Amino acid sequence: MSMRTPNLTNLSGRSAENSSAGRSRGWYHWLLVAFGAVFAFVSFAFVASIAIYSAPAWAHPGQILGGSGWQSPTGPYGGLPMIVGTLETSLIAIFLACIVGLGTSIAIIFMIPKRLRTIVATLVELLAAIPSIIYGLWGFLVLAPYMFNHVDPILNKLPFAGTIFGPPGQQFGASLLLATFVLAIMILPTFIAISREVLAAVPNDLLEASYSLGATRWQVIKDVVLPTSKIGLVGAAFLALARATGETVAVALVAGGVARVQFHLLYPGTSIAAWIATQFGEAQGNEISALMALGLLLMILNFGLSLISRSLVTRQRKQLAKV
Amino acid sequence: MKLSNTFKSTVAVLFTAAGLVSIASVPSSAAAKVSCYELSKTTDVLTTKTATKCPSGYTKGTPSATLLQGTNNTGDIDLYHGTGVGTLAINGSSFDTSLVTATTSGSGDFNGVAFSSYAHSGSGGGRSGIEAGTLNIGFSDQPISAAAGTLATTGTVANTTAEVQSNFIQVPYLLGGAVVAYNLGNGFDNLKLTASEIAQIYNGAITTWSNPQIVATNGGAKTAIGIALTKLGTSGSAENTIKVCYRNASSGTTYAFTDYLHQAAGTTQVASGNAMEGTGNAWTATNVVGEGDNGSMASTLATTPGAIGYVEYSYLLVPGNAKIQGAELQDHDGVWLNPNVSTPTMLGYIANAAAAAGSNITSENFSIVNEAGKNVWPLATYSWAIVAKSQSSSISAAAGNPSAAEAVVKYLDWETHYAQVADASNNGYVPLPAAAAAYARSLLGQVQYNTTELLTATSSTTF
Amino acid sequence: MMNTMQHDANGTTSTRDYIRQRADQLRARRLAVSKVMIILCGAALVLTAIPLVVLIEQLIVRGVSQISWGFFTQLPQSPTLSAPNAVGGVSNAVVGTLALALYASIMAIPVGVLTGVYLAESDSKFAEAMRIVAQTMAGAPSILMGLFAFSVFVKYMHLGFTALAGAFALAVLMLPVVTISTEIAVRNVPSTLREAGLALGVKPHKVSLRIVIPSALSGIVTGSLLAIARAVGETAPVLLVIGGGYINEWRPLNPVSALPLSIFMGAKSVWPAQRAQVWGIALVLVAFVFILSLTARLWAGRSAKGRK
Repeated sequence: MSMRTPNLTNLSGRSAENSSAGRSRGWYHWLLVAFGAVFAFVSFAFVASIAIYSAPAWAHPGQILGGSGWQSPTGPYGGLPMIVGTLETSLIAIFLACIVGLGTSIAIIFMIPKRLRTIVATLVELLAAIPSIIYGLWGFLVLAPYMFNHVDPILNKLPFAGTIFGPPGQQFGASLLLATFVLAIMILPTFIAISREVLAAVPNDLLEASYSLGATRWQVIKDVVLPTSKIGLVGAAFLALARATGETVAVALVAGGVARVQFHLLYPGTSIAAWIATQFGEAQGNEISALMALGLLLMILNFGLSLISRSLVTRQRKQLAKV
Repeated sequence: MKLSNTFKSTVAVLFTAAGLVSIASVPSSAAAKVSCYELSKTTDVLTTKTATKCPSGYTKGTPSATLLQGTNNTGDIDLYHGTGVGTLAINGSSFDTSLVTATTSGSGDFNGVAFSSYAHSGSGGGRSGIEAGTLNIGFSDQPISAAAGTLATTGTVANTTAEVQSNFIQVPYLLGGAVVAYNLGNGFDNLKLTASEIAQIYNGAITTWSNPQIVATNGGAKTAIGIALTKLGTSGSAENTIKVCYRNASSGTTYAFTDYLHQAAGTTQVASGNAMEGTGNAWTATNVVGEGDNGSMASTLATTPGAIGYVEYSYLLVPGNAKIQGAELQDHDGVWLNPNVSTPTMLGYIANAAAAAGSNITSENFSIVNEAGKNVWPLATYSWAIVAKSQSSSISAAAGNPSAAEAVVKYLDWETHYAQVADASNNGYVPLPAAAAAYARSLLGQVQYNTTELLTATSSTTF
Repeated sequence: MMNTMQHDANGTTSTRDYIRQRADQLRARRLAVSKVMIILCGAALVLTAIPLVVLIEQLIVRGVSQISWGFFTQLPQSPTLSAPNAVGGVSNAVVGTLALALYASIMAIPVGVLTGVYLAESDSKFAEAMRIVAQTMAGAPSILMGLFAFSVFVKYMHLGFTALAGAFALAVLMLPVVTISTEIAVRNVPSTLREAGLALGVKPHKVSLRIVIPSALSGIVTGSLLAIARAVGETAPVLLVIGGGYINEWRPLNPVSALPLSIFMGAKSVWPAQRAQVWGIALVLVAFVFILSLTARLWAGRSAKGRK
């Protein structure tokens, strides 16, 4: 988000420099504060309600965090398969998305002429606007059979296929790998949007100076732009990772819905969000609490990644302001 | 004294007149029309005639309200309900999906009453929803009972048999069968699988279709199918690995399946409608994928060569998908039964199961899996509709809305009678036996709103 | 050393030649590397574009044949063995989605806009905290909004499955987005405008309401349209709480259907006709979202030009 410097004149109509001289707070000011409070209340209630309804499940924290099987409806409710699945798919997805996304951002800024840049940017935003269920639908009905018939046989022939992908022959269309690919496609636009801003924020005189020293385009990118925007790029990665952890329906449709801790990528698994979405409809009592507890875990993970990303991008901006 | 001629002629005239009058009146009394009606037992169609004498098969008079109830004809009080019904909330077993959606939406629906989408979340979803009061009707392949192991563990409305019996009514909704389905393409028609082999597949002991046990069961390595199976193994085809599909949400179909395997093959896993996950209860096969309901299980089977799973019979019949086949299974006496011969034959096998189980079906005595007898399909099961007994109480989703409560009860009566006749076979189910339908009606008569019986409510009933 | 010996008469020419030769070699290599890397980046751009192109193509190819007048006006039907292609239309989902969008907008936009104005005009610590909260909530997983709505409406208030619950979940989703975009829009109004108003003696609240906010209006509208576009496409928040239905229902306290829900339920259907119909629903949804997004973009672009 590009935020300009704050207006120096605030609500009282006096400039910040004079603010020590007795401000008058009118009704208008308090009206706005009230709405801010409503916003704050809604956000607080958001966290609180999920936490409260998950309370019974936290009587057995070891189960939710470390139990390896989800026995419906009586429990025990083990959240480890979902946690592992979420981490596996998201981390591999961000790895793929960063490589392709960084290349794309570099291409947009350093290859595409300025007048075409808006069109390309709009196209990338369109990619971001597509609802996630469409990706899930496409992944499930189109990509899954394609992978099943064409890609999986090749993958199974690679070295180390056994350890990464699992013993051959399992070949279900739905698998953790498919979920990873779909996630990577979905978080690309998020990463590209932020990394583009970060890369473009490198001051022009720095680039001009480098070019005048005879550096090639790639040298400028590699040795000037990337190191300068390193922090912001990591921030972009964290935000895209946060988005990947929260994807629900796309993963629910393509991951296979098996609640077992799974490290073989061509086998089915599940993620926290996908498991909540598919199991909630029939859950009752303690199972609802357990699902809410999973939701709370997801919230903590997602918020943590978001906040880290935000602090990194802010730090990047401050750093560039000093240059 | 001689009677005068006048007197004689007067009397003669009078007698003649009387005679003529009586002769004249005879034809009109002989030609008096009566109403006759015939209610077909097989189609519930009511035909009325007026005739001097009712033809054979017809009954004199007009049909009573009791007779018309549940027949979808004018005068059927099942078709009457108050205004302001709103949308009835339903959910539950995907075993029932075809019949539920046929009777709650589209042209075959119940009298224009609005029902929510049938999310077919599974039998467990039906039970938990009705216990929580969020559903008007919950559909479950197993009733809430101690015998089914489905008593609730939290809450206060369904934890003991006494509670269940005082709070809920559970009526048989349909009669159907599950099949063990597989996808191997052409050349593998009518594959035979013993219960023991199926159990070994689901527990990971048998992992390939070319396994010698399966070949032996199918006539040995020299038969056409035996050769084809062995070839799968030698050619290293990916299809050879058995991909096991199971249900990862609570499922009544799973209950029937596990019940069958436990009875016929002695598996350690006992009958359970729960997702087979978690310690101690999971299928130990590793090559597995989990499906949420019958429909997605069928879809996955259709798109995964080499897969095996279990679905309700009618899912085999859906046109347009890649062919999935039902495996031949042995009945209790060891006779091989083929579900692919024809729909009437298969429905016959299921009907035999119901007959063999007898008519004393209740929520404690509900299982008809692996019944003894000839040509008895081992994976047959009833499915149940559960509603609150007192529709005005806080347990009921229709509390405060007597019209909705009335619609619920009348829908179920209509469904257990008319829909069985009109829709069941079209959707791959066996029409409920008369005893089961009568049992359903007797239970529905116990459902009340504020002490008023709902089943017989008319436009003049007040609640 | 050998080289210098040979060209003694010309002094350091040979060293220079050698250096120049090496320099040219290195530069050629650097240029080649640069070209290759840039091409790889270009390939990455193409790789990013491929899913978009393929997806749109599939949507159009598979979805267009499903669209018809009946698609929008008929209620859904369940295929039966005797009529396996009788799937009806999706009017219930269209009506439901429009109703949800309306209710969610009513709940989210006024609160979001005023909160955004507050954040733009205040520098207090509370405002700073709210800014962080808004950004974090904007990225929150949408399934959690569904859980939130479930706990409030279904469990706490015992209302069952209602459109209101679904709209609430979507409103919570939209709120941070509207807030942030409003804040940016208001901040982008040049401070000279505000200062001029204050210098003329106009009261602060009038300055905001009559001068600043109208200038920021296009940005606010853009942000709201984008928020609606996002909310309409979300499945997870509504999946848990709206109930679904087969009739054209829009009343807030009744269960309603929605386009993403119809897609979710139809994608795994065993009936091929329902799986095919899902592409039509998907096309309609994407078209709706695209039109909203493009309208928002054009509005923003046009007003930016106008301000110059």
